[in-house]
Amino acid sequence: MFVNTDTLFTNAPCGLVVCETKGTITQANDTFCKWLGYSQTELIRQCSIQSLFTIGSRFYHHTHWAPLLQLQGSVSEVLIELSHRQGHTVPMLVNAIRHKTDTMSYDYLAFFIAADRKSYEQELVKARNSVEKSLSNLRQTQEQLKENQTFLSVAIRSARMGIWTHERATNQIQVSQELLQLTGLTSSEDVKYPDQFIQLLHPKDASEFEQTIQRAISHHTEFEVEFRLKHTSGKWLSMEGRGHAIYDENGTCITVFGVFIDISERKKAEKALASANQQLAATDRKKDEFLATLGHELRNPLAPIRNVLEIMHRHIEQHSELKWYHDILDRHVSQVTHIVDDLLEVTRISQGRLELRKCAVDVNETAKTAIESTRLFIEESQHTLQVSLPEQPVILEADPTRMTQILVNLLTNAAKYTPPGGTITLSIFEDTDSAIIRVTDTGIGIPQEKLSTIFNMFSQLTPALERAQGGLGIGLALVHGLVEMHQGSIKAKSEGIDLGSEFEVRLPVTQTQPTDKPSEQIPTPDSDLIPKKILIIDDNVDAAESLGFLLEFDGHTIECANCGLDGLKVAEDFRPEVVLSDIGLPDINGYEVAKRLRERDWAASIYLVAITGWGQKKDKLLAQEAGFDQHFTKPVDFSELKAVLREIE
Amino acid sequence: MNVYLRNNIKIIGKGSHTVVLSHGFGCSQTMWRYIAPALAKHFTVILYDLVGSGESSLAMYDYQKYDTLDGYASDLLEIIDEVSDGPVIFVGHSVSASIGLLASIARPDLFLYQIMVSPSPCFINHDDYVGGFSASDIEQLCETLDSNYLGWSSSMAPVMMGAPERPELTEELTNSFCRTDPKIAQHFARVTFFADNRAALPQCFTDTLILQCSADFIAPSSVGEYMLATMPKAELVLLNDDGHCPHMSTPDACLKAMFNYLNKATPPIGLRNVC
Repeated sequence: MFVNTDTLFTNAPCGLVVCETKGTITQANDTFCKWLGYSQTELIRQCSIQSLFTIGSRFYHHTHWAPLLQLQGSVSEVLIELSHRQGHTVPMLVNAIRHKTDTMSYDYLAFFIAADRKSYEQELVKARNSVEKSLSNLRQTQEQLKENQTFLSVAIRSARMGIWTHERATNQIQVSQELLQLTGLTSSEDVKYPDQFIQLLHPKDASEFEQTIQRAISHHTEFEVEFRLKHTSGKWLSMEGRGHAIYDENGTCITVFGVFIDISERKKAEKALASANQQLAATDRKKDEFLATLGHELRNPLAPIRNVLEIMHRHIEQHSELKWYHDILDRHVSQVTHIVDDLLEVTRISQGRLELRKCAVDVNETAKTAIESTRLFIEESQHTLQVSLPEQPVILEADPTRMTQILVNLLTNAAKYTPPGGTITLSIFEDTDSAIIRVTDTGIGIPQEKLSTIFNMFSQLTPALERAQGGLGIGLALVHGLVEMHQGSIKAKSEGIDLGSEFEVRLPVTQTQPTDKPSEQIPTPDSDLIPKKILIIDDNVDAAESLGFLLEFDGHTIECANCGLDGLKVAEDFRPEVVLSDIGLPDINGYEVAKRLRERDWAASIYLVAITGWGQKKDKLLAQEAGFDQHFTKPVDFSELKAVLREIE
Repeated sequence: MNVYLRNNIKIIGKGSHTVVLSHGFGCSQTMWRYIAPALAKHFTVILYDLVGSGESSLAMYDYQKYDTLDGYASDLLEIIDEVSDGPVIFVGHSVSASIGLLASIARPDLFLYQIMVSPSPCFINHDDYVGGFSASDIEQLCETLDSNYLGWSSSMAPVMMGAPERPELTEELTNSFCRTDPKIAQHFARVTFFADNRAALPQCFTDTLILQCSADFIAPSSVGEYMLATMPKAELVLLNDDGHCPHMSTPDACLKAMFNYLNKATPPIGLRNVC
């Protein structure tokens, strides 16, 4: 059956329109008219096709459709919105071709309703926009992430760090670019497996590394391990690794995560510091040794001088003019002896060789002794000494000699640094668990910046030449050392230059009563003395001879020898009852002398006295083992020696 | 990047003066093909594509730079500096007329004459000014553009049946229209149709010919009148055409008006063969 083409045109399932090139509608089918709500008469020759478009579509028609249709003669599938007579819009797809007759050109247009398509498209546009937006957000996030990664990477690189992970399931190692760079490796493939990575570790560190990580895994703890890692150049990098393991819900370790830090520089610095410290300690030790040696070297010549002074003293009765010489020499030798003793004490403290002989001590008693021994010096400087002591005894567990030394030094110090006519105050009191000893003066004071270093050795305030009073700056260092050895503390205070100083010592008190001080031995008159044959062996000829002279005064018979072998020879003829032997002798030492003497029958029970420079326990023990009966530290205190000689049967 | 590649510059003909042809929105330099050959008989004719259109380098499309027409104006100045020794006769269609306007104010020394084809300094109505459209109309246009740029639409391709008038152009044209990145087209549409360059009009002292179509839906006659009244050195010629692209729909009338203007111009333009 054939359908009339007119009918087909009229009722076609699409809107068909013919218009002039300018748009004037010349024909429109019923479908088109119906879709837009117009009658044919309202459209044909009455309006242009553009006038049925919405403004936007008309615009589009002008900018795109019309020029294209003119240029290429056709356009297809253009989505246009048309206005219904009622006002609402009807989206339609349009195909158009330009048809030319001899005289005229016409555009044939076919419209299809595209409401669904339009809405789909709108959905699509919306979806696309939303996708684009998410994509752009994603891109932005990625860019931010990348930027952060870059920052992180820069930070990691400049901190010489690298990331290391060990996937347990695949048993593979992953290293970050930074770690590759640190080790000089070019590809992470080179350390893909644990075995390969272990190869990079120093053989001595490998098992510690593995064990540390294994421990951290089993204890669920962080690990921290130091190891050496081989750079491709063969150099070893000192590394520090820190990290932890990550576990699945069953507690099985999935991954071990670690940050490795190159600490080579730090290690180098630490080593340099340690070696610098070592050097410094060695230098310090040498200094202490030097000071100790200096002290001994200074003290040795003091012994004969002291002996000669003693000899002089004995002649004063016959030669009264000697008193003046004697007194001057005695004062100055005492001063030098004091300085040398302080120096020796300080070096002993810093070398840890000073031993305290502690017992219960009443600070009041100590103070009295100290005042007694400094009284003369204080009076010579025309100072006034004000003393405030508690009525009750203040008992400390301390070395009485050292306690006196502390007080003497503080008082001497105050007198020394106070211009003549000043006031020195000594006050002692008890404060809960501490005994407080406070010495103040009206002297030259201490500048603020020196307060913290005043207890360091040789911390003289001004060069010695500028001061009226001399000193090596040892006194306060010694006091500080002694106080610390007694678990106490010392503080210096001063308002400033010329405003006086205050030294405050705090020492822990004990509750025990003082043991009765062994009563001073009352020296037996010299007449009771039984003369003895005494051999003195000392390479210091002056010391030996002067001591000899002194002993001869007491009626003893003396022989001297200046080396060990000589001593033995003299002994063989002289057959002494007492031998005083120096330990440091040019040929055989004093111990050897003692041993050899003891081997002789006649000498088995003679009295052997060792004289050493170093009064250490060790020295005394050695002396005892060698066969000595008694031990003296140089310089020999003559009265002590006399007491010992008196004791010998 | 070299401006030749950036703007797909083509030079045809040779003359003592240079004519620069600049296309409008949604088009490319191919739109000048009805009048470019005639101009090339007298002038050195420079054709180019705005960045983002035609065969220009899409990679150079900088959303920030081309967010106002100034970006295109600065490109135009670079092109003239690069290609021409002296000042040029600038012919701009629609949005390009506004681009020329801005460029001629920035560098008047580069412009001998200016011919504006269907210009509109502002498409949207403001108070007494009748640009022809409301802001919502422009929004609707943008929406239509968007619909027709969807991937499946081959809207610009010729229908299968029926022979195209000029088959040799078809493929090239389709390419130049469809190649445009939809996002760029959308952005360019907004920059073009929401632009308001009315304030620039009184500042332009280049001799200007305004060619307006008698019934242009896009640039109504009120726009031409406004421009004539506002620009210090403008002349208006009304073409009997109801489109927006007289250089395509009535190229001869268009050329005639241009040559008439240039012939009587001072300084004179030596035309070899006046039509």
